Amino acid sequence: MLFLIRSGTDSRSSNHTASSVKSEWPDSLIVRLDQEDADALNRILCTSGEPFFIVLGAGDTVLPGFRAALKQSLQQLEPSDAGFIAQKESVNGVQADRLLPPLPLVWRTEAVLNRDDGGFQTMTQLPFPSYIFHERMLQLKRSWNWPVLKGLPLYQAAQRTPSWMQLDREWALLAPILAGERQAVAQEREPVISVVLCMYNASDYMLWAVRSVLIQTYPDWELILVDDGSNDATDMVLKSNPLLQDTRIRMLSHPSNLGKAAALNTALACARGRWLLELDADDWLCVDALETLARGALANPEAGAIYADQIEWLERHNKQLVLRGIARACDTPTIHHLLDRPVPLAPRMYRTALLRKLGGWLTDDPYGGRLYEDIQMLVRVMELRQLYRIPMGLYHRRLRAASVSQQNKERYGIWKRWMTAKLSIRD
Amino acid sequence: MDFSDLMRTFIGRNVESYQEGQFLTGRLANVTEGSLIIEAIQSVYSPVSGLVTVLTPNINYVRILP
Repeated sequence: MLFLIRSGTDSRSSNHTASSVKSEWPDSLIVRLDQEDADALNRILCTSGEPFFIVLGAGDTVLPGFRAALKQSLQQLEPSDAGFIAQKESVNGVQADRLLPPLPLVWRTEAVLNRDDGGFQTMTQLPFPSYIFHERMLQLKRSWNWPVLKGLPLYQAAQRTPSWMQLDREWALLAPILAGERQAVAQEREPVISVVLCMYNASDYMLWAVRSVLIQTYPDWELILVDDGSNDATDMVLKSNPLLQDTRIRMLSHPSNLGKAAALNTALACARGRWLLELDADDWLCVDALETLARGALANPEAGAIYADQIEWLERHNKQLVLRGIARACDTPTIHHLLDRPVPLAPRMYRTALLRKLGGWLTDDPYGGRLYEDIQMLVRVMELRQLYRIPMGLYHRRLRAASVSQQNKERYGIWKRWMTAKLSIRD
Repeated sequence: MDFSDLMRTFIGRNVESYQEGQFLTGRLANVTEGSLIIEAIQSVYSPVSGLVTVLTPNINYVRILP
């Protein structure tokens, strides 16, 4: 039998679990996961030849009699069961607090590996490796059963998480996405919202962003991907990933890197939606973002653009994302306010006809449309129409020290002078 | 050498600060008796000051990044 021991806060608890497994099941294969590395995990599962595998938390204890009880439980499983969840015993009659739903103890290998994109989601598909088991459990739930069994000789330790991770808030924000179902469209529908995702060397990030669009509760969208001359694996991902096989997704590419504004103009030229929403390749949408924005658009027929609040995530040096919190956007920004304190508004959804009337994004600024193109368009829209804010966090934003906007802050003053002059000329 | 003295030797380095219920990352800008001052990542485009003062008693630990 294959035992996987999830990473814990220290190696002692993992050693303890491995030792208890060895005592009860000496001929088992034990794999300790230092981090939830889905690639390695999928390789192990493909080669193990075991019909089932067991996932334990670091600190869990396999008690005497576990092996016999488990074999009996496996015999009771139905073919439609993906495995089972071992009910955690209460301590002194009090059920231990759980921030996250309990993970299955036993997993059917065939069920886990049977998906288009092959097993557990890798870091490029799911940038939260600590949730790969939860994601797989939730996705399998749609076509398999997860029965709960009681009374196995097993002590399941409470998994401790440092408070700075804000696990309860994190889970509340991520669970709808992890459980989100790709919405099939029965027939070709005219899109109302064109989601535009421009990318340059973003192959490590873009799939999570794309997934967040595919699981939207609102069906009338199209997704336009513009590869702005990437020289990483973007092209390969775009051509091969099954996630992208959807008639609502269109892919465009520039032969060389022309900058964000040029990429947006390429998308604008073929956008069919009445509204155009920008989604950065390293960010993602809440599952009801498009539905909420579409409602906001209907309720505000005069708005030139609709925006909302954003949920910020700090990217650690090891790529782990840590929740920072909801950043509330300014309610009634003026052009001067936006230029003086240029906080990115996201999500931002523009009226497509207005973008075309404005001639799209300008590329003759000092940086060739590579920087601050969002502020540029917002202030130009604001000259003609009002913006409307929805006071809800609808957009997840990844704050990276290495991002273009973080690396170029000293250039803002020059760009602002150019933009101000441009607006004055028009006056 | 106390904690503040030790942290002074890392001024200018990128750090991660872990507090109860909060995480912060950025460049260690200064250290005073009883606090660290970290230039944190800001979502604003312009080069405004993003200095955050973290009181030493609230810090669980600090990771000095390579």
